[in-house]
Amino acid sequence: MIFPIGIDIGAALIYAGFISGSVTTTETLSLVFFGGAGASAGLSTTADAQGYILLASALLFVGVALLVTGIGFG
Amino acid sequence: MMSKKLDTKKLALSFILLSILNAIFSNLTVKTNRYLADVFLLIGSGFLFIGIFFAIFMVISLFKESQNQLLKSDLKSSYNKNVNNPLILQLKISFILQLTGLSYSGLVSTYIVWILHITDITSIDLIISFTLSFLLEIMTAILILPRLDPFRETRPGEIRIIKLHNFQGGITMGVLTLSRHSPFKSIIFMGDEDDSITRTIEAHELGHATEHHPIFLELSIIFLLSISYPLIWFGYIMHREVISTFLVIKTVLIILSVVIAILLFMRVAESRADAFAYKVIGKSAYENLVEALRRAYGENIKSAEDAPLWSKITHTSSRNAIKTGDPLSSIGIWEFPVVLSFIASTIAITRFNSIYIIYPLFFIGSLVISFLIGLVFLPFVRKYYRMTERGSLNFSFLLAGIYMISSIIALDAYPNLYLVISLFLTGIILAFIITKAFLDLHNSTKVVVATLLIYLSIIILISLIKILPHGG
Repeated sequence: MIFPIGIDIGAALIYAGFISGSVTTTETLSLVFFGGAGASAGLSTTADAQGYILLASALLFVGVALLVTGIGFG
Repeated sequence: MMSKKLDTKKLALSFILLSILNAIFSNLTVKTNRYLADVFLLIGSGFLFIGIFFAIFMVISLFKESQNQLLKSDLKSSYNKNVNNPLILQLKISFILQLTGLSYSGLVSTYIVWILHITDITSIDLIISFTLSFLLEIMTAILILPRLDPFRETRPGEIRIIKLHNFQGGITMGVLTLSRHSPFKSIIFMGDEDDSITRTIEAHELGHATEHHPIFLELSIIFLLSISYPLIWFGYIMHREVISTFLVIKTVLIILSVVIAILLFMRVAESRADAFAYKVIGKSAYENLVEALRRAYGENIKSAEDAPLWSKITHTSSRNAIKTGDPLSSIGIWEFPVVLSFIASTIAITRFNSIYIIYPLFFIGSLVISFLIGLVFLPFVRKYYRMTERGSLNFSFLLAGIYMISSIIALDAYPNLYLVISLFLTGIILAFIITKAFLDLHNSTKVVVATLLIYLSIIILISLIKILPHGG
């Protein structure tokens, strides 16, 4: 089964966040925000597939907000 | 304090990971047990919000540190020189952009749906709402962002350098402003040591500031917000049945293209700043860079390739540009063809009603074409680019990709020939502007004219080969 792409991307970024031992605050922040964005996108796709439109939309807004904040730190 | 910060980071990441695991469980159980899938979904959302809470907690601790230092400081009237201030400024900018993006796109979407009573959202409605949100947000950014604290004291056109104690590396920030002197305000935050390493960092950041890279990043973030927010609003207001899934997939592809284009732009911008630092500092620039990385990430760093993953993604892993002075020498050979083909196939798909087989075909086709055309351009480009071999190859691929994207955009307007020609001409002007960033006026004119002629003759040749066997 193929999971929503957000889940895969989020998992990869969180892995990167954990393995990066000593990072500066900018990188820590951007990785946390990107991981959160990936997780929100994945959860949103799941919620959408199960018919919860309000939850899916809210999660997508959160995801985009986290993504943009992460890009700002990149 | 450092260990506290690290803990918050791990807590935030752990909860986000738990939310991802719950989303996976929810996906796995949805067919067999709907109730369980709902429970996993809700627990996952809960974990996500706890993760975000810890991320916000990290941010609040930065603010608190800054405030504490402000209380201790004697210079309360001037801008507080705290190490965390660039991060706080960036958070403020992101927050303002998101809040305005959310409200403008909400207003535009509700106007289209509830006041104009449009029941079936088409591509034109989406384009109108993207454009309106973009323009409104740009206007707000121009009016509000230059009035934020350190930018308020910066004159338009000025590159202000703020030196911070104990600050590792450097950050350049810039905003658009409304002034008859200059539309840009730039600030460089960097450490206050007076040694060759800090001077290299300063040269790198000055490279960013003189070429206005932060402004491009600001514009692309606003563009990304103004594409994605209206779509989510429409999806929510119209309960998604009236927007076709295909339209959503196309928009998601556009958003993905914008994200990878931003990433590629960041890598090229960092390499250009590295090349600028090489021109200012000279051959010792690379050793200074490695020493700066060692100060920031620990003693284990022996070369630029030992930097953390995120730094390697945004700054390139080899950092060849700071060794050679050639801005395109640190970019991988596959990068321009892959990214530009992704963008080209996303644009090409807008005219089709199915993407499942056509999209991968378009992608592979445009990848092969841009690669081959780039190789044809190479001997000519090498003659004028006159830096490294990798740089010439990348420059050829960049030009080939831009011509390919221009042709595809032009072909999207096919029945209207005037529009086709004007779109292709716009693409050529864009190619010229990009070439001008790497070569001088005389050489860039020569390169653009010659490569364009080669490109057009290849296309005519292919058309002739295709037409002749079929008898025209």
